[in-house]
Amino acid sequence: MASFIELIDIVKTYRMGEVVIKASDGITFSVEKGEFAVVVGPSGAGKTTVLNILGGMDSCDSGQILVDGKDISQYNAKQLTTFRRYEIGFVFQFYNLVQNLTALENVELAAQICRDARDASEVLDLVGLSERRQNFPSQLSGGEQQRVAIARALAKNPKLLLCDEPTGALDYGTGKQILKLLQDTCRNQGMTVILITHNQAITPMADRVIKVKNGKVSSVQYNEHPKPVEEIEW
Amino acid sequence: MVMGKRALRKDILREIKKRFNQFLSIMIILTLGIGFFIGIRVTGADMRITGDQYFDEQKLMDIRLLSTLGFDDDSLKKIKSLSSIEAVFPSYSVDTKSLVNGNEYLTHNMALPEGDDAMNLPVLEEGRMPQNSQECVVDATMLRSGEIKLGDRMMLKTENDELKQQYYTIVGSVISPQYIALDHGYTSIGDGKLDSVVFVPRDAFDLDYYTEVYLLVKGASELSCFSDEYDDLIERSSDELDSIKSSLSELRIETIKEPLIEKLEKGQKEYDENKAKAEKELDDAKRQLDDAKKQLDGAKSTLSSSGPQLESSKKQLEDSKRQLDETLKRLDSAKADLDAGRQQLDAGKSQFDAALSEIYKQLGTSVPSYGTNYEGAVQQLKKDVSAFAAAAEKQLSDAYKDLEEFIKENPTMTDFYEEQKTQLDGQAAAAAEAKTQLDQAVQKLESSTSALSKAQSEYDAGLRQYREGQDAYQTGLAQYKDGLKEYNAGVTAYENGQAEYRSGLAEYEAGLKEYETQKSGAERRLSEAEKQLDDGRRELSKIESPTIYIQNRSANPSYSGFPQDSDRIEAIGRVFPLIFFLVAALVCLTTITRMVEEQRMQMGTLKALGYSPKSVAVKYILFALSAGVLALIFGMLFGYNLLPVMIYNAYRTLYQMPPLVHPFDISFAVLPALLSVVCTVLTALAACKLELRSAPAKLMRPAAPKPGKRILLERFTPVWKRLPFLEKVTARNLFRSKGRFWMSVLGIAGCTGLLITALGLNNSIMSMVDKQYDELNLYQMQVGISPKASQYEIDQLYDALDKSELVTDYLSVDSRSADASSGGKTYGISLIVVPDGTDLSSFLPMRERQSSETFTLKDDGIVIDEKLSLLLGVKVGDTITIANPDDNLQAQVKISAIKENYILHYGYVTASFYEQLTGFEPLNNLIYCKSPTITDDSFSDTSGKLLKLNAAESVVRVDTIRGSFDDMMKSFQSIIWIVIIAAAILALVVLHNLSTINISERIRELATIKVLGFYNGETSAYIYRENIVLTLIGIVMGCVFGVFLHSFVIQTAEIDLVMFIRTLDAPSVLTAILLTILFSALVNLILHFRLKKIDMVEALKSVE
Repeated sequence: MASFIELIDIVKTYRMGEVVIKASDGITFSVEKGEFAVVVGPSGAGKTTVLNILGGMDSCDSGQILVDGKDISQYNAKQLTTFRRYEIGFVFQFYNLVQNLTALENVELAAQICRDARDASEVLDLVGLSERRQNFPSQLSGGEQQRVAIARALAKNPKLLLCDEPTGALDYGTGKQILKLLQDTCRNQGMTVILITHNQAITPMADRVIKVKNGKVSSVQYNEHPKPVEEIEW
Repeated sequence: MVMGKRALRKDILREIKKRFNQFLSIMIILTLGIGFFIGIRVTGADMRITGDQYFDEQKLMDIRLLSTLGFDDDSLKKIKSLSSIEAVFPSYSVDTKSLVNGNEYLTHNMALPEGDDAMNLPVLEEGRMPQNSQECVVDATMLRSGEIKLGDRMMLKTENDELKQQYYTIVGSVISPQYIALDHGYTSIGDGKLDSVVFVPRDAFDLDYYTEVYLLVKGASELSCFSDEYDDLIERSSDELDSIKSSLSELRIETIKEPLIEKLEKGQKEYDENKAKAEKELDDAKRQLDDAKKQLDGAKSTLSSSGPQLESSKKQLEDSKRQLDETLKRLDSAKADLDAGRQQLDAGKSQFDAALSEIYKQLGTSVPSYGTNYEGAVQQLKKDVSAFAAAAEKQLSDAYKDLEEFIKENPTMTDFYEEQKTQLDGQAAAAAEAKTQLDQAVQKLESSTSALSKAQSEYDAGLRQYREGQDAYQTGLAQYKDGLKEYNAGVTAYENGQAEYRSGLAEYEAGLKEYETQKSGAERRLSEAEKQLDDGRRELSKIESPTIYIQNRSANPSYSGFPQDSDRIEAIGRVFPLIFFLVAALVCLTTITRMVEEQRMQMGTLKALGYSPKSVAVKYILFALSAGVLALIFGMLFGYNLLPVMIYNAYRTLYQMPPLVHPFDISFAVLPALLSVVCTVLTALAACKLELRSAPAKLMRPAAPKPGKRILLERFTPVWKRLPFLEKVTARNLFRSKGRFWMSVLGIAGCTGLLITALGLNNSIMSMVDKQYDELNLYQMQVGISPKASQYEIDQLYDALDKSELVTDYLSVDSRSADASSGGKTYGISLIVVPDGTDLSSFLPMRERQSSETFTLKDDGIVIDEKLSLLLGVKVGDTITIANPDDNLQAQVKISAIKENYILHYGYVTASFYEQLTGFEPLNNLIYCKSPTITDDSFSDTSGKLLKLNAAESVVRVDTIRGSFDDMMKSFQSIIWIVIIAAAILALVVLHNLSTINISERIRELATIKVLGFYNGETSAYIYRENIVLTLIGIVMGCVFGVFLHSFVIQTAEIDLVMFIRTLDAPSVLTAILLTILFSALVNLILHFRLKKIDMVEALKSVE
């Protein structure tokens, strides 16, 4: 049975003058639909590279990426953009909200371009920010901003939610809240979530833990019973 | 503690490399600013230096002297003696029609300068200089069309053999410093416009006087010929020449007049001699003739008196004749009576006679005549008888005696004696008988005597009477005959006299005719001779003071245009650089601000490490400064070398000048360098200041992203609600960064403004010429009337104009130059005196520019052109001074109206007003001619004809004047193009810079939306929308700016002589706007490609 997401032997090298960096050196793993996967590894391991390739933001030198049966590694730039537009939702470490737009508008920004968008207010409600709709990011706390970012990603109704160190800029408590939100979304919406982090401590919450080291997948673990976030301490 | 020098340098260099685009933007704009600033000033200066050098090298004369009588060596000596004159060079020239390859041109033919003192040296362009006097070189423009080539033969059709020969081979082409443009000036032959200039060897000229003298003034070559000092120097020299003008004239006149006067005097003497001789001869002849005439007259009067005399004589004679005839008749009857009586008498007489003769027979003598004196006869008879008897007796006695004596002697002869005696006795007896008989007879006779005597005396009385009557008749007849003879003689004499008179008269008349012929012949010759002498004298008197013209270089065609053009360039150019500096300052500000924003963490770190704010700022200052320094270098290159050459070469199409000389004069670069430093360093400092004031800790934290703000527009909820979402984004983004907003808007406004100014200027200048000559000067030809023409000659001219098919209407005016002044300023104008009551609307419509109201010329003041009113600072109703010392004109005149006019200055007055002002009547010397169908051929034809008349001094086609203004204005166009290009660069650089900054600032945003799945087009549009709005706002501001700038430039750039059209035309504005939009679109396009390349991944990674 083909997985929902499959990475097969992804190789990505960066060349900067004489220096050749092998960011991904034959990455292979798969993720099932509705899973909460965590890609974990030390800094510079190549996690973000994987996420980027998976999200169609970057291309790989060789290998295959299958998302819901479609091989996106052969996609050209426009196809990738389309792919991103309709299939992927991103959550970044630094939120990347448009400063000039209110929370609602930020979500609307994403919703506008999607076929199947969800109602921006609804999604904001979903993430618990009904009160903060008309506030600019500068008027929101870090956690609130990240929630807006998540709402933005969810508004697109994507197949896949990719999160790059979503709690990296947040404090412990807020971070946990965000993670909970993500977990809930995964469980309740049936959304496939892939999260990248260097924090080993949160791996228990995932269904699948993919350890990456030096551009390679060092191990893939399954958690039969993922822990709810509240129970995890670090 | 200053950051290690090496580290600092590396840092700056890397920074420059990283932000090369922005570095470049600052540099480019500053370069443009500096370049223009320097370049425009340098161009003007270099042009003047080039010109001055060229003219000095080619020894262009400072002063040219022309004289209506030419110059001779004496004149030269006198001129040389003046203290201000450095060198004198006389030369020859003549204007001719010239034939080359079947085409006719009008050329000004000059002698090639030769010798040490040679001036106005031409520069050889093609071919070579002439080596003999059958060769010539021509002005380079002549070969340009290709119709004439080297090696062609040219025929110069001189009219008075000024050249030794007419055919020349063209062996080369030259550029002459006297003719720096395509205009070659005017002439009085042909159609009045010279086509080109030809140089022939000096010795090809066959003149005994110099046609012109060129002078170099002492100290002039050391000065720039475009400077005021030069003008003053030349003016002083001209004044010096002016002071000897009259003595030169006198000298020249004398030299010319001397031989002529001699000849004239000789001629006069001859004439006088011949005249006297002729007169004497004629007098003699006349006298003779007069005598003859007198005689004839006398004869005539005699004859004329004779005539009637004869008539009366004739009449008398006829009377007499009649009388005589009557008398004759009477006489005849008397005669008849007498004859009858006579017959009786005769019978009686014959009886008597018979008796008498009988007796006398006996007497033996002849009957003595007794007439009618019978008594006497009887007496006589008696006597005779007695005598006879006595005689007989005596005889007898004698005989007897003799016989006696005989017998005595001859006694023997008795017989004889006897015989004889017997005889004698017989004789005696007979005698006695006879006697008795006789006595009887006598008695018988005697008895009849008385009757006879009575009858006789009756008869005699009758006869006497008759005889008397006859006598009387005879006398009368004789008288009559005499009279008749006399009369006849008289008649004959009269007839002879008449004949003689006639012949005499004929002779006289012949003689008179001959005399007359001779006389008239002589008179004719004498009068011819006299006429020649008079002509000679008149010619001599016409040789009055020659008019000597002292001309400086501005008399050369287009000479003044050259420095004026350079002045104009400078005037325009003064403003532009400022715009660039302003924008450069903004660009610098925003760039450095951006840089600082991006590097705040680093700056904070350095501060935390302990570096002073200043040393931290140094990096950025140096960044900006290095841009400034580089800009200075490139700007100087551009300004000193490139721009001047570009502008100059654009001019070279109009001018024939050598390549630009561009010496390096650092003084031009000082101000720009200063401005450049200010622009860069100060803005960098300003940008840094804010950041540097903050505490290091703050700096090291990522900057709080600029708070989103509600903008004003949001208050207008109805509008805001309707705005599409993405437009809202745009709106908010626009007003986020004031600096950037203003930089962009100003950049675009600057671009639009510059374009509007450039295009509007172009239009103002070009259409000025059109407006002037299509709407305000409605005549096509101008004919100048020679001041020396007589009224008859002038009438001839008008006649020719009336007859000309080409000229449909004309207007004569008095045009004279004058100075108009007010408030210490003076400008030269042409004062046009228009005949009273003239309707000017078809020649020189008078209208007020802004209101377009037309008005008429009245007697209450002067109408001046608008530019003049602006220059003098006067308006309608003000008073200005009009002066012309040569015409004794000096008056305060009220301005009655101001006329729309664009080229040159004019003052219009009516004839009566002029008279009021000066006391003199105006003297029409200029005729404006309307010839709407004018073509090259018809003009050439007409002007050729008109110029043949003495009264026509010049015939100028207005199109030619128009053409030269067009050319003058065309030189603007090169500058305008440069401005347009600069404006384009400005817009492009600014927009590009803006976009770059935008992108770099909002890279995360952009990357985010790309990640979100915005297509490339949508991503670009995200930015575009802002650019478009900025562009639109910029355009609107630019239009306002452009209007003001346009007006400003027009007023500074326009030369005094012209008034550019001040209204900005819509097409220019539209074009400017369209071009700006085009540039904006271009930048957006570049943007698009840049956005495409954004690496989402990298962008998202960096920490803000």
